[in-house]
Amino acid sequence: MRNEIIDQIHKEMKIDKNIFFLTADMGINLVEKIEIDFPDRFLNVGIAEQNLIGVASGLINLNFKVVVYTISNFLVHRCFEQLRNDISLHKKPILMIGTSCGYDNASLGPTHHVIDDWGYVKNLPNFEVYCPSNIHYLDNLAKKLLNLKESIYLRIPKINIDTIGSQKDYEYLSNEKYENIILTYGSIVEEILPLFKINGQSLLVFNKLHPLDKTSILKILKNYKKIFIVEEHFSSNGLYDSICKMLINSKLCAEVVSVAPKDYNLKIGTNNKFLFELNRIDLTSIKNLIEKN
Amino acid sequence: MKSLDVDTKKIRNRIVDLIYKSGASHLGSSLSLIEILSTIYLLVDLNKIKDHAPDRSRVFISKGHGACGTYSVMNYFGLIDDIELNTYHKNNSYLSGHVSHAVSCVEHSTGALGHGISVCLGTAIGIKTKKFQSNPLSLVVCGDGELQEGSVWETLMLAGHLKLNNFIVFIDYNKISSIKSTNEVVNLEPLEDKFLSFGFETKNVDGHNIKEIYDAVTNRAEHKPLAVICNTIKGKGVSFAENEPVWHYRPLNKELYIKAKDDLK
Repeated sequence: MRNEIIDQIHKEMKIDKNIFFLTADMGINLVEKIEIDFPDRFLNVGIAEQNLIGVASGLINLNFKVVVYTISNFLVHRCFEQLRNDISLHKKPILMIGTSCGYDNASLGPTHHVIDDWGYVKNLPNFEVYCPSNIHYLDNLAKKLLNLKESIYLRIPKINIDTIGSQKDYEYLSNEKYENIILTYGSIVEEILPLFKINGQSLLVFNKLHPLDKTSILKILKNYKKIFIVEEHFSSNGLYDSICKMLINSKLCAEVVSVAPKDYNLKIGTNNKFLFELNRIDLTSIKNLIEKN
Repeated sequence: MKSLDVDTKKIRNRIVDLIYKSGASHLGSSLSLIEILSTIYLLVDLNKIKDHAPDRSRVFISKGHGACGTYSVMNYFGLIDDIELNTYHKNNSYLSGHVSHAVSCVEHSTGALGHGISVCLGTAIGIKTKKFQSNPLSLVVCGDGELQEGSVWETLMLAGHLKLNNFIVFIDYNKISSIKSTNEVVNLEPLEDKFLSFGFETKNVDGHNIKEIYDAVTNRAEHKPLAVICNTIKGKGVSFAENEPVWHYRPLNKELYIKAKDDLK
């Protein structure tokens, strides 16, 4: 997915001479073509995320459309005050692209597990959050996001699901014989998809995480008595938090169950499946949980 | 030859009046930056700043707590009118105790330290990319205590690496951090060597001497960013506030206001 989106950014930079690309020394075999083709509008600021966002803010002052790139686990936390003060407070729209979500970097340890990032960003005014859960959603996505009416945090999972999806902000895979539905997004969609394909379980797969299209989502959720929210992100400020608030505000009554990690993990695995099992968000655990309920 | 005459006593009186009337703090920090910021406004094209021209020089006050001093200097140079200035620190005003971009001709809100300098570097890069013929500058005033922030050094490292000669950092080196002597908290010395090792040209000047600061900038090197280390006195001009850390926080009572005004006659 990351190659596709960077290719699109490269294409847009050919057309729009006002796009400036910044990296914090990330993107090997990825960003070089931008550096070669647009040396005046490409800058590697080094491994310095606070300065990355500060410099971006300065470039926006000069009316550039700024794209910043690094891996997701470095793009939010270290420079959060810069995002708050130098971007959100000033209503300066930026496109932040972070690669890796959830347990994509399973073996690299908890510093590289991205399970508490977008929840902070959604709390900043003037920010939208995207997490494409299928490759079709990427079609023309860069062009759309570079309109930059708001700041954008685009977190890109290391999956390439092409068996579902479209360019809609969410994909409803429905089976109304069920009384419950699973809401999910990101890399874990790959883990959960057999529940729909084999068992016919209803799924609502998100590509855009914030803000949510309340009217149409509530229209779907009202058909279900129980909602399972499966995410590789803490529930306290993740999708579970967003959906619960939405339901409370709409006075819609449904039981909502969070299936999410509750803490950081010091144990690692060679791939994300091990971390899913460790946190009981793997396919078998979810199946068992649904059956018990 | 451009006149460098600035009635700094008038500006200091204004600061003392505003701080007394509003019950605000940050007297010391405001009084130390007067000559630095005045020099900056002498160096740039003020009309372009007033007009928000795309090729204006960009001025940043990274030590955002110097707001009262900043607004008072801006008022002296015609960037803020008297009516607006007199709302400082009052209900419904945009003139907050830290520098705010809600005020016209202020590029960026600051207050959390170590931010303005990075944004200023971004404008320096942007200005170079846009290739404006008027060669505008990006200028930033930093506090000495602010240099304890790690983000400052991220910025300095990149600026030196890029050899940006339009990026000018003024250090308001008043030697007092938040609650005590800066170098007692974390020693900055040898400060000049630090900037030199980051690829800057450095000038060490009397930060209350406009001509010295002005000459430091106009005689700068062609292929390096410049750091002007401005040796200043926190609370300059008000005897009881000079070099006293408490005047970072304390508002003026009537008795001390009268004394301050007496000092500034």
